[in-house]
Amino acid sequence: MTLTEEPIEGGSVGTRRIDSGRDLTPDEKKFVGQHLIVAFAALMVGSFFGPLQSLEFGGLDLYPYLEPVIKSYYQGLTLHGVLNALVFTTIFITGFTTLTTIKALGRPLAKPKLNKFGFYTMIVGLVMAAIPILFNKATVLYTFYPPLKASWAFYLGLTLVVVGSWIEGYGFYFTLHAWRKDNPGVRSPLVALAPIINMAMWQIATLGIAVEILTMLLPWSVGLIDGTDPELARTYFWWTGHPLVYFWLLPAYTSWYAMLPKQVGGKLFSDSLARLSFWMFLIVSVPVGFHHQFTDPGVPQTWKFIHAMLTYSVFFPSMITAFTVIASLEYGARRNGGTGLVGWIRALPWKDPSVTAQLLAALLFVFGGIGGLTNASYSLNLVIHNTAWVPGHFHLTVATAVTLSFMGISYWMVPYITGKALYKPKLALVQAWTWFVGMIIFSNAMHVVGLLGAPRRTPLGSAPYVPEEWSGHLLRVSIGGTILFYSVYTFGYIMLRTALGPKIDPALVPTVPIAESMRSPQLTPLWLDRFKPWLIAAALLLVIAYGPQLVDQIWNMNLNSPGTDFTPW
Amino acid sequence: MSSPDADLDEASNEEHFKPTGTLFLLAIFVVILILLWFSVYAILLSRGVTT
Amino acid sequence: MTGANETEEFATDKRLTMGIDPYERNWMRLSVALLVGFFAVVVVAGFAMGIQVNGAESEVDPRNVTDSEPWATPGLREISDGVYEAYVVASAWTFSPRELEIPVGSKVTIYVTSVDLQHGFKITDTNVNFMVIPGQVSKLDYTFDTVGEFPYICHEYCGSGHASMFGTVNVVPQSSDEAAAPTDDDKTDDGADE
Repeated sequence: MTLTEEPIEGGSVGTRRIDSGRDLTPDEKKFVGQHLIVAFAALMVGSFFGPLQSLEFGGLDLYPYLEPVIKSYYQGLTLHGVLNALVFTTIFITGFTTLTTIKALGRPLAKPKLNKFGFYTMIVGLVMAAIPILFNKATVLYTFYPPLKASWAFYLGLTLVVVGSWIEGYGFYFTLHAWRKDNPGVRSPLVALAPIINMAMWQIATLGIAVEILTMLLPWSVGLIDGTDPELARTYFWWTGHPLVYFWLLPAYTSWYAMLPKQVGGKLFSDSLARLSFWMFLIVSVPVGFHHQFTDPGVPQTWKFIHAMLTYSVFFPSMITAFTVIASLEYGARRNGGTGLVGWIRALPWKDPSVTAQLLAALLFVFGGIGGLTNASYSLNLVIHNTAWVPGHFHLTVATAVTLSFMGISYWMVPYITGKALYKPKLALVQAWTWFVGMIIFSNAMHVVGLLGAPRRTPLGSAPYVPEEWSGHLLRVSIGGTILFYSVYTFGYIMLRTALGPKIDPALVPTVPIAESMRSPQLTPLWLDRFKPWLIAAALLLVIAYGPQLVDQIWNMNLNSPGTDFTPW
Repeated sequence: MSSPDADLDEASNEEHFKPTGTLFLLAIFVVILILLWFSVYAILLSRGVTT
Repeated sequence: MTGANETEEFATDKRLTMGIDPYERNWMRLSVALLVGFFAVVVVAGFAMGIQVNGAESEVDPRNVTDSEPWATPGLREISDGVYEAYVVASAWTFSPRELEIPVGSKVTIYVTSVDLQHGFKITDTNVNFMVIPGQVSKLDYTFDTVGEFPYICHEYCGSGHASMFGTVNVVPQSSDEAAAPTDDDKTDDGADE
């Protein structure tokens, strides 16, 4: 089934109605829905531990009451990190990409069974990793640095989640490939292309932890080798660990660029720059991992410095994004009658919870971006490395720019796939605003207390070295965390009530918002629509930026770190 | 109508929209970026030399 | 005037310019300039002022590193007048030694390694901050110019005792100017508050 609408060349430029294309079939909607159910379940369980951590900072440790099930702060923190940052995001993203691929290309998945297989592989992996965490056999946090030794099932489970996401990724490429064969010379729709660029980036990025787990952690956890090389493991991990944040972010960018403008009555300001920034993320997201290792003892300063420079270059596509997205919004607001230098902002549809959530997410991302540039700045890392600043920072990025945007997307996506009305849109607005306010309080306090020297990943409520000076900030962490707890469970409740509500008149069900571009995408140069040049560039840059140091570390590998002879947690 | 040039002409007739509000917001962003970044830089300088 | 010219140039050059709005083109130029500027300032701090991150120092075998010197007797030692070396061994969940007494104004080369898990080492209110990784030696030089107590805190998760893993740098007045007693009073006050 291909797009039978007016072909692009003959139609009048700018009025091509890509959003009138093919809707998802009930089966396809169900498949997307299965992703969302798993993703939201992970978010709900993972978020349960957020307030426990933040309340501990303020001096109220509730973990002892959970002792029959959850043994420690760190076990809760592991669940929080793994379920929220790894599972919720990955499964939501593959579900969202399924929807954008089918909808924007106007055709079914090329190999639907392959995608199903990928999804079930992820589920098996999720269960396999969750069991040891729940039984306190993998309290290693979501970075699982060796020689903290988790159960083999944890490593194998994570591997399967990653492999499952690869398989779904292949399914998306095959679908795009089939579409291109049927539509020679037509630029791929941005809404379909961008999430697939993201999946390609993810395949390159996850090679790091794949090698880490398969060559070191898994053999070690089953006793085939006696020890690990922790420095090499960190280099493998951060090959994946930083692009991971772009894997989370790019679907949100897709929505900001190519969907949100439609929701506010505007158009995408620049199709070609939108594409350029996604391709730039493909090539520069990965060769930047050493900026997480600025203070590592086993990496020479030269490589740290080179990666600092490359990390700065990743900031560039985000600067383009800032301009293009704001301009697209401004265009919409002015068409709605907005006027003035800043007055137009009021003409945005702030009553629409899907829009509000994403606008607030993008607004807080400004501060996430500034913090990120600080983190990337080589010796500035001495001030903030591994302090509470860091979780303060990534709660603005992954937990707001990404998560709050995903919540906003869900406010149209769940009604769309269920054929039901969003439950209490006003409550959804309250949800978005409470996330915004709670996160400002939480994140600001974390940044400040981090600058004062508070370490991350530490129950500061019971640490003996905490000075009086920090206590006000720690209390603000508790307050912010509690507000966020209210907000995230309100989100879960709205989703549940929406899904359980009655079907409504199909004419009233929200459609998939796909923004037109101000200029026809056909005017975008061909090289901004082809994978090959960018994949070659990505490979070359990786060889240059990682090759020498990685080869050196592998060549001089010493598997001489067995860890402790007791379970350290 | 189907020639690329026709597409171009139509496109150039599209709304000439000057994103003045965008530029204003981005100017504020640049100021905040510089202030916040340099506040951390100042902390770095105040905490002594490491070699 | 210029605006009109720009628009015209924009219209004729569409394909070459990828249809980039002239304002956005300038924003991209400004972005690059900003990033270059920030990076230049980073280079100044790192290379002109000498505020550096640690590099690749040396490797050890974590299984027997404490069997031989210098790691067998960690602590502070004076190499020459006012110049010190400090060796600190991290293990779950303690630093050895737990206290370093350093005369004010001394330049100390700090070496830290771990015998078991990954740990972290950050001396509060200083720029001394690095990872401590089994098999690797972390090293930074720092001059302690302020009298007072500066906790060094483990900042990488290392198991159930992580939150209590810390030590203290005690920067004391030089023995010659011990008259600088007011700091002692401050300390007692702090103690009374707790």
